[in-house]
Amino acid sequence: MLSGWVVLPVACAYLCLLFAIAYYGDKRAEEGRSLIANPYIYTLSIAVYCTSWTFYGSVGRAAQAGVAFLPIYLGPTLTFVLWWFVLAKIIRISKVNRITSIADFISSRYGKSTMISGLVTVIAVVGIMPYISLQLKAVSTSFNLLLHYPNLEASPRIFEVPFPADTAFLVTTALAIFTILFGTRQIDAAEHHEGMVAAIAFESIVKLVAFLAVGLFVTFGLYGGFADLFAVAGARPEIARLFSIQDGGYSQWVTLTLLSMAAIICLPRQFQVTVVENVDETHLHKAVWLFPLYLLAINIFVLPIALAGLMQFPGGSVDADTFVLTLPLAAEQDGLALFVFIGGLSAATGMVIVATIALSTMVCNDLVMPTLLRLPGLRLSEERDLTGLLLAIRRGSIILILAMSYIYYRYIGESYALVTIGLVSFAAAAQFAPAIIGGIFWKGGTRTGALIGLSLGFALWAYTLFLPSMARSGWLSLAFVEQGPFGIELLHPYRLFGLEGLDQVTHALFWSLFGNIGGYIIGSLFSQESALERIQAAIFVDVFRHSESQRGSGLWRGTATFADVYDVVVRFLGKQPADRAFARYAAERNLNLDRLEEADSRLLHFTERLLAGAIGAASARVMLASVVKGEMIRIDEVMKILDETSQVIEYSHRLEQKSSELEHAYSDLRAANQRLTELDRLKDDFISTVSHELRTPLTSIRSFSEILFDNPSLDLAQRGAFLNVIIKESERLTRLINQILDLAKMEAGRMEWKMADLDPGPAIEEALAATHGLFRERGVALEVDLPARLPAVHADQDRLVQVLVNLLSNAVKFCDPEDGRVTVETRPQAADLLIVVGDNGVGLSREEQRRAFEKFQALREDLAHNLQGTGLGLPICRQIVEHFGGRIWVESKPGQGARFAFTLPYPEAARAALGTAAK
Amino acid sequence: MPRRGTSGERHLALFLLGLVLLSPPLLSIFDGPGWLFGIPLLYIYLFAAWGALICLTALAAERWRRFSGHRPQAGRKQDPLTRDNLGQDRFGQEGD
Repeated sequence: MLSGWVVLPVACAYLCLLFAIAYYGDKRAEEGRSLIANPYIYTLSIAVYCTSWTFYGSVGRAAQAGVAFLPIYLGPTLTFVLWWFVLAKIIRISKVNRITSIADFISSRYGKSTMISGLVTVIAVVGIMPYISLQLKAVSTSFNLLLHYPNLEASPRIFEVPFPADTAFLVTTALAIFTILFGTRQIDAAEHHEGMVAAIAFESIVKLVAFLAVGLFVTFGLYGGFADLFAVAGARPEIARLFSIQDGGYSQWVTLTLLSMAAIICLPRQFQVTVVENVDETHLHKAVWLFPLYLLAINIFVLPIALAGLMQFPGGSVDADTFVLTLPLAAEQDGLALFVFIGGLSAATGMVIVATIALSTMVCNDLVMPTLLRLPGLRLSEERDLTGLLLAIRRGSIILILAMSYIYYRYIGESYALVTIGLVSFAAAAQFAPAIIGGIFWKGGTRTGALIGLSLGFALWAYTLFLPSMARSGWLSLAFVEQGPFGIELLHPYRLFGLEGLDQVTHALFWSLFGNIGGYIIGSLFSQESALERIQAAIFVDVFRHSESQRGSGLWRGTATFADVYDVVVRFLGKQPADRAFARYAAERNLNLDRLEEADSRLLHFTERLLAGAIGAASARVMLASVVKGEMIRIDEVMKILDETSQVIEYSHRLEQKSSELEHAYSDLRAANQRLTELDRLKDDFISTVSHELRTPLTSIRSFSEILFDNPSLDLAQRGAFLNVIIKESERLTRLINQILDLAKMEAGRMEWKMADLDPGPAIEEALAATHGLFRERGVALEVDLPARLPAVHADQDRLVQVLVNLLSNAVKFCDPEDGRVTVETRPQAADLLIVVGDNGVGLSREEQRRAFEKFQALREDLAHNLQGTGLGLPICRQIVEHFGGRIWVESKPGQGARFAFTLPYPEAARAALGTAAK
Repeated sequence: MPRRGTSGERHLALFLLGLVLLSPPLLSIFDGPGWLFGIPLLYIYLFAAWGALICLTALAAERWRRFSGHRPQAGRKQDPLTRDNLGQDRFGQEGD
C-alpha cells in the first residue's frame, strides 16, 4: 500500500514535467529549431490512440474474450498499410486547404457548409465526451486502488468523495490548465501545437515503457516466460478457452476491425495529431510502419497479464480492468505499481489533452463562430479586434468540455466497463467515415447527401448505443432497454426491426452505417450540388493533380481593398501575425504592400486560407465575404464568363478586321494627304504661275506701248505691227483671265451649266468651224470622221464646243510642223460616245501624260511660250468633261503623236449616274 | 527491367493481404488446440501475421522513399503558411 503522500507528489511532479516539456517544445518552435519535426515524434504522437482504455481496458477485455481484444489494434494497422490511398490524401488535402479539424475537413468538402460543420461538431462532442470521462474514471480508479490496495472495499465510492478532493477533479483541473496553456497559445490553429505534441510523444513513451515493464515483470517475474505462463493457464479449462475465439466472436472480430479502421482516422484526436499537427508529409512514410509496430509492442503482454490476473485473483475478486496495477501491488512491487500508475496517467492525460484541443477547436471554429458571425444583432463582423474573443471562446469550450466530461463521469460513467464506453465513442466517430471516404474519392457526394447520412447515422447510433447506455446508468427508464420504447418490440434498441443474434456494438454499427451510407449515397444521387460543392469536390478528389498549382484562386471574384482585407486578418490573428503573413506573401511575389491597394483574387484566396487556419473554412468564408464586394463565383457565372470569353474572341476577331480596315483607311488617308500636299504645292505654283503668265503679256503690252509713245516718228507699218502685238497680247490676257475665272468658278461649283440632251454633231462642226482659220494658217491637214447620225449625249453645248476647240487648237499647235495632220474621230460605245482628237507631233512622255491635265503644266517646254498657250486649257477641259460625267485622257508614245480622247455619256447613263450620286 | 509494381499497387496488395491474413476464415484454421513453442497457435499466428505485415509495409514504404528520388527535409521546420507552396515531394506514383 502506497501512501497518498508519495503518490500525489509523484503524480504532480509528472504533470509538471509535462508542462516543462510542452514549454520547451514551444520555445524550440519559436526559435525555429523544432523538437517535433521528425517522424519518430510524429509516430509517438499518433500513439495517443492508446488511451487508458488500452492501458487498463485491453487486459480487462482479454480476461473476458481472449484474443478478441486485438481487432482494435489490427484495424489501425490495416488503415496505415493503406496509407497511400487514404491518409496521404487526407493530409495533402488538409495542408492545401489549411484544415483545422475533422469538422472543418468534412464541411470544406461539402461546400464549406456551416450546417455540416456544426453537425459534425455536435456528433463529435456527444460521442467523445463519454470517452474523455472514461479517462477521468481510469485515473481516479487507479489512484484509489494505489492508495487502498488490498483493502478494496475501503476505496470510496465516487459519490462519497467531496468533489474538490476528488482525484479526477484535480486531474481535470490540471488538464484544463495544461490544455489552455499549450492548446490555445496561438490563434492560428493550423500553426501547430508543438509543445503539446512533444508532451504527448513523451507520454506515449512513458505508457509503452510502463506497460512493457509490468508485462515483463508478470511474464518473467511471476512466471518463467511465455511458455510457462501459457502452460499453467492452459491447464485450467476456464482460462484456456481464452486462447481461441468464442462463439459469435468472429462477427464481433469483423465489426471491431472495421470500427477501429475508421476510428484511427475519424476520431477527432487522431485527426488532430495525424493530420492537423503533421508538419511534414514525408513523416508519414515512417509512421506507416512504426505506429503499427508500437501497437504490436504494447499488445504483446496483454493476454499474459490477463491470464496471470485471472490465475492470481480467481473468482473475480479483482476487476480485470485493474490487473495491470493490482498484479504488481499484490507482488508488493510498489515502485513498479507507481510507475504503472504514471503510465496509465500518461495514457489518460494524453488522450484528454488532444481530444479537448480538437473538440474545442471544432466548437469554436465550426459551431460558435459561424453562428456568432451570422447573428445580425451582434454585428461581430464589424468588431475591431476578435483575437481576444476567439481565445475566450476556445478556452471557454475547453473548460466546458472538461466540466461536462467530469459531470458525465461522476453521474453516469460509474456503471459501465471501460471497453463499452470506448466502443460507443468509436461507433460515433465511425459515422464520419462515409462522408470522408466518399468525399475524397467520389466527386458525386453532395452536401445534402452528407447531411442526410450524418444525421441518420448519428440518430441510429444514439438510439442503439447512446440512449441504452443512459438507460443503464439510470437516466432513462430501464424498460427502454428491456422491452423497447413503449413496449414496442420492433423498436427495441438492441434488436432494431427484429435484427437479432448480434452483439450490441455490431448491431449498432450495422444499423447506423446502413442509414449513414444509404442516406449519403441516395441523398447525393438525388440532390443538386451547388457550384462551390462541385469545385470543392474537385479540389478534394483531385488533390494530387491540383495542389501543385495555385488552385482555387479564381473562386473569389469581385474586389476588396487591401486595407479591408488586412483589417479582417488583424481582427482574427492579431497585428503581428497578420503583418508577418502578408510580408511573407508579398516577399514571395515581389509585391510592395505599401502600394498594394486592390486585393486581387489570389490575395483573397490567400487570406481565406489564412483565416481558415484560425477560424475554420466556414467562418472564414462568411468573414471574408463581408468585405469583398461581389461574391463567390457561381457556376452559371463561370459559364457566362466562358461565354463572354468566346464573345471577346469574336470581338477581337472583328477588331482585327477593323484594324486592318483602319490600316487601309490610313494608307488611303496618307495618299490623300500626299495628294493634298501636292495640291497645296500646286496652288502655290498656280499663283506664281498665274502672276507670271499675267505679267508676260502685260510686259509686252507695256513695252510696245512705251515704244509707240516714245517714238512718234515710227512709220505706219511698224506702228500697225506693234499695235497688232498689243491687241494680241491684250486678247491673250483677256483669255487668260477668263480661263482663270472659268476654272475658279468650276472648281468652286459656281459655274452655270446648261445641261441638255443634245446631238454632238453640230457642236463638233461648230468647233471645227471656229478653228478652221487656225488650220489653214498653219497648213495642217484635218481628217474628220463624223457619221451623219450620232447618238444624243447629255452635255452643255457651249462647253462642249469649248473642249473641242481647246483640243483642236492644242493639236494644231503640237502637230508636226512640216507635215501637220490632225484627226477627229467619233465612236459610239455601249454607255457613252468616244471622241478622239489626234495629232502627229512629238508625243508626250509618260510623265507628261500624267501631268497633262494639271494647271499650268505647259506641255513641251520649248513651246511653252507659244502665244496661244496658257496652260489652263486642258485642266478646264477635264473639269468640263468630268462635269458631264465623262472621262478625258491622253494616249501617246514619244515621237508618234498624241491622241486626246474623252467620253460623253448618253442621257440614260448620265441620269442613272446622277441618281446614284444623289443617293 | 522486371516490373516491380508501383508503390500504390504494392500497398494496396499488402492491405488485401492483411485483410485475408486477419480474416475469420483464415483465423479459424489456427483457432484450435495446437501449440507452438509452448504458446497457443492462434496467439502466435496473430502476432506473426501482424509482424510480417508491418515488416512488409516498412519495406514497401522505405523502398519507395529511396527510389522515388525523395529528399527528406529533416530538421527543417517549414513555415506553415507557405508550406504547401514549397517544393515538397508528392505522393505521386512511382514509375518503374
